[in-house]
Amino acid sequence: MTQQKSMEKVTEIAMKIAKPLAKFGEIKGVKAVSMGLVSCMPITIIGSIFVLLNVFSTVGGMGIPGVAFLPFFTGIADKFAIVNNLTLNFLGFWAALTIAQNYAELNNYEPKTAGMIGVLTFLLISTDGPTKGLLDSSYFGARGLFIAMICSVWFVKLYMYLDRKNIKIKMPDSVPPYIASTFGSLVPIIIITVLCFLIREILGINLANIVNNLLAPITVNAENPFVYSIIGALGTLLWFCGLHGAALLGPITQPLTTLYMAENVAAKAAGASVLPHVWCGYALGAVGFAGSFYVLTLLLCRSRLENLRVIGKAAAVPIIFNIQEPLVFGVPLVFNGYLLVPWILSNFVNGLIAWFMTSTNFLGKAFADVSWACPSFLALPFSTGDLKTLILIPISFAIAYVIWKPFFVAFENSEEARMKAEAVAAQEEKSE
Amino acid sequence: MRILLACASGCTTSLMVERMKKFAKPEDKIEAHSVNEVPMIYKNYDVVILGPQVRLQLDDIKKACSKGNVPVDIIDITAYGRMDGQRVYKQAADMYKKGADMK
Repeated sequence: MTQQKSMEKVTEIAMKIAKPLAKFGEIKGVKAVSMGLVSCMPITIIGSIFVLLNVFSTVGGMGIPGVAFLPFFTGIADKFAIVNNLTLNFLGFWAALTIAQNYAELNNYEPKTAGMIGVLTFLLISTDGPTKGLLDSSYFGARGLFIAMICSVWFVKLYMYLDRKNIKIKMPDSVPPYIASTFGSLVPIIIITVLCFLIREILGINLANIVNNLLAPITVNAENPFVYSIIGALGTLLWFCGLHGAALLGPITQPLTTLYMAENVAAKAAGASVLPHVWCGYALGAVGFAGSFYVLTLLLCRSRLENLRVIGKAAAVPIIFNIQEPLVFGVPLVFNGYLLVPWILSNFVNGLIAWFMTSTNFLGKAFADVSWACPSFLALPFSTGDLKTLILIPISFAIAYVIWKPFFVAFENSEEARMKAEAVAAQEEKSE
Repeated sequence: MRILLACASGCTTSLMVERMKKFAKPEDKIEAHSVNEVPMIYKNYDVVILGPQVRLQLDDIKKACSKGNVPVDIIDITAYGRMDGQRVYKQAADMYKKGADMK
């Protein structure tokens, strides 16, 4: 009875957190930023492949002095960095395109013109154009990420506003619709261009810089183990209520972690040996995940109860690719009072261990992005270029095992008791 | 029958799609997408079902899909956890039938 009550309390708290988060994520501008950054995936993955090629083919690149992983590529190691510079290191530029397109689509506008407006305004706001063929690209990467988000949402919003107010050149009916629509968007784009031109070139306002300075208190202070642990525990609590924790918290954490990743990438490209940020990429999360869910899957597969073994086997392959729903809804972990404590505790401990091993530079920091579905044992070395990171898997597995085991046994016993009671009830029903 | 499954990124539900296909008729179309895409593509389907992990979006999706009279529901949690394709297919078929009766 008391257990039921405390369970209701937990659920109540979690829903109080989840509802505003869901509301925030539903704001079209926020959603467009999230979706836009996801749309950049091909760009970030290609960039990551090339930065890894660069690291693997550089002598000493993997942290082992005098050794190159791919010695036959050493001569062209620098060339690989070019692709990385144009993709992952130009993330602000690409995000201006994809966020604008997603924002337009969310508002039922066609994305071609919007994408153009996103890139155009981003360029107008963040550069002075080429001089003697050279373009200052210092805001195309990490430093331009926030201004890219703002330009691509607000200027597309302005465009849609002007369009709705019918501020456009009206073509006679005899003009083909394709041409008419091109001219239709002309006036709004001219207005938007003049506005950007005024801001940067005439008034001399560096909007990108102002935005970065305004957000600096957040971006600088958010990256600490305390905030990281809170976010992690919140995510687990939301999953406990059967809600997609990562998707709900994404709109808040994603712009930050994307920025940190972009700054790491830029530092790596500039040849820094120590990278600035811990909290980026999927590697850190992969550790908590590998701990809790590898252990739980193993415990399930070796359970003495057949129904638990079935779930363990069904979850084993998805879990390698970081898909946790079969466990969350199968065991289920949802509203499972026995398993909430080890779940939060083991992720918390493992997350902190990974954090401190990384922040002290004992392990390499992430500078390449891998898909979230990339198995942990590949994600760790691939995103950090450091083979030592693999030790996090046995460490987190061992810790998670110690934490999960007693709680799992308690859960198993209760399951057994429940099944026995059900069997007895069914028997009685039959005999009646 | 054309069924659209949706979760956060359309990944877990794509696993479910494969399980459902074993029980589907050859002319059925079953696909998985991100829940964010649903308002743009729901018109191409007869039924929309969401993974339980994105159920907070149910009201928004329902509102969007009501314009095309496409029924929306949440996948049964137990069936989802056990990746029970047969039950989820039946759920979708029932929704489809109910929707057709309403029309």
